[in-house]
Amino acid sequence: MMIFLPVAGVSINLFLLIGVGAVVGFLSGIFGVGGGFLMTPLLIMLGINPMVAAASDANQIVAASTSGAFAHYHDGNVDMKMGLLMLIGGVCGGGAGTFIIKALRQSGNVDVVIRICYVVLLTLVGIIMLVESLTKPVKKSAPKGDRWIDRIPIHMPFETRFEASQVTASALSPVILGVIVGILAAIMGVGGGFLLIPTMVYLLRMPMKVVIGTSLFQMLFTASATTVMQAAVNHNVDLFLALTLLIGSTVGAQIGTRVSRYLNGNQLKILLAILVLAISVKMFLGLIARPAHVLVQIWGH
Amino acid sequence: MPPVIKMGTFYGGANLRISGSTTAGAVIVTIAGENTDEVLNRKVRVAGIWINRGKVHVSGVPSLFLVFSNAAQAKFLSRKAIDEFQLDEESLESRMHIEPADLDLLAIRSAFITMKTRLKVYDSFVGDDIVKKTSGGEQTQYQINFRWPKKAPAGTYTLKAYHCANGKVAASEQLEFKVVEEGFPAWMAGLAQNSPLLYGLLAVITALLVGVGIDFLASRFGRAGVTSH
Repeated sequence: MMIFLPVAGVSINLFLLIGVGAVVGFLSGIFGVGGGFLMTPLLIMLGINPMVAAASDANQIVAASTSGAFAHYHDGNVDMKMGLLMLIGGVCGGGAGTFIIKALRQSGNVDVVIRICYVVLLTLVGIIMLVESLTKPVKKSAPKGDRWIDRIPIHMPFETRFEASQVTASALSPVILGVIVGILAAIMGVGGGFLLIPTMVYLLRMPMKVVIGTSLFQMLFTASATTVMQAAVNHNVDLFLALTLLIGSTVGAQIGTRVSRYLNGNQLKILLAILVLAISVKMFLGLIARPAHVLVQIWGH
Repeated sequence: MPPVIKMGTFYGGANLRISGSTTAGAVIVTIAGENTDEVLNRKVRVAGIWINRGKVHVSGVPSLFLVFSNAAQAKFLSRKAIDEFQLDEESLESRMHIEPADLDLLAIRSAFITMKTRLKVYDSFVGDDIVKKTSGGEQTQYQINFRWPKKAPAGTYTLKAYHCANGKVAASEQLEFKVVEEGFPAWMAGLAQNSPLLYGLLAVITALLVGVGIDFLASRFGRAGVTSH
């Protein structure tokens, strides 16, 4: 059964689209990763324009992170002060990313830049996952002041106390982090959890339960802001595509979470790392291989 | 042929039938879209990576071109007649206007036709199984069954049937039909284009409501602890 995506302007098999959402959701359920970094490349491989794929994926992330964000908020796991500072950065980053996309579109290379970003991201994520699953667990981190990063003589101003996380840090740190995540969300359609969580855990030393809730809160609002800006400036959000993917990813995530209880986590992590690296290689080959035709239609014309 | 092909929510192309009658020895049927001005990106290799550099403006050719014939056109018509009535892709190439003019025009023409062919909006269907003839007598009935390409854009198309005899086009007839977006896709595409801010807000609100709904269902049927990153 085919469906016609009104903004993407293509007809695609409905069950294939739901299946892609289900596979990404299944992997999310097993590994606890968002899957945004997988969803966009898979959509590109299906023939969806990269700009539309990234923007619609951001829309999908709004829905996917809603339930988790509200659940953590009710459980008191959201550091609102930290989250709001990240949100300020996220909105600014999302706006910057939206206009970067607009400028790239005028230059004609938005699809190339998105693909290059994904090759870099997927290669890094895949290698880190592979190394993590093949090496011994890292010992408990050293007390503050004893780590190499604490010896770097950078002092950021506006130190403030974040009571919910019980940490003291510069107010600029979450803003800068939010800007980076916002730019990534706009250009690549990812939620940014792969960057937010390790940064909050290792650099800001926030407790894990607050990290997850705060990152979901930030992602929800950053993805929302990015969706509105992309729709208003670049006209590239396909709501129909986002909702179709969400149907599949929701079901897949539920199944994946249940299945994960019976599987060896480390072996699966290796498999996921291999899958991520395989997708990265495919995208890289797509960049360097001679294209089927040297003339390319411009989306939106 | 229906007068209108509707691109609704579940559109994926359409199965069409063209039928008619002829007294001539052969019939060639073409379907052509409106002449469009297209601006295309041109791919070049820089540092090993294929990037888009420079734009090519192509005009004077239809957005879609399909030709149906029970044998190669050259069997029925002279090259001059084929070019005059635009009955194959070679005749389209000669009418193509390309800017900037300092490009390798032959290569660009060929690349354009190749691109359109891969998208299946330019195609040739040749063979007795394509244009099926039935019954004898003075009039021969012909019938063509084919799949309307799903990538054909919305617009007005012209179907022409050329009745060929003695190396010339003896007669021709034509009709127009439209391909239109309708229903939900048309409404959503219109909203996204004409009221983009409202559309963006609608997209976010819809996603939030769906997220809340999923959370409600998950809690009723047993949440499996899913978070999204």
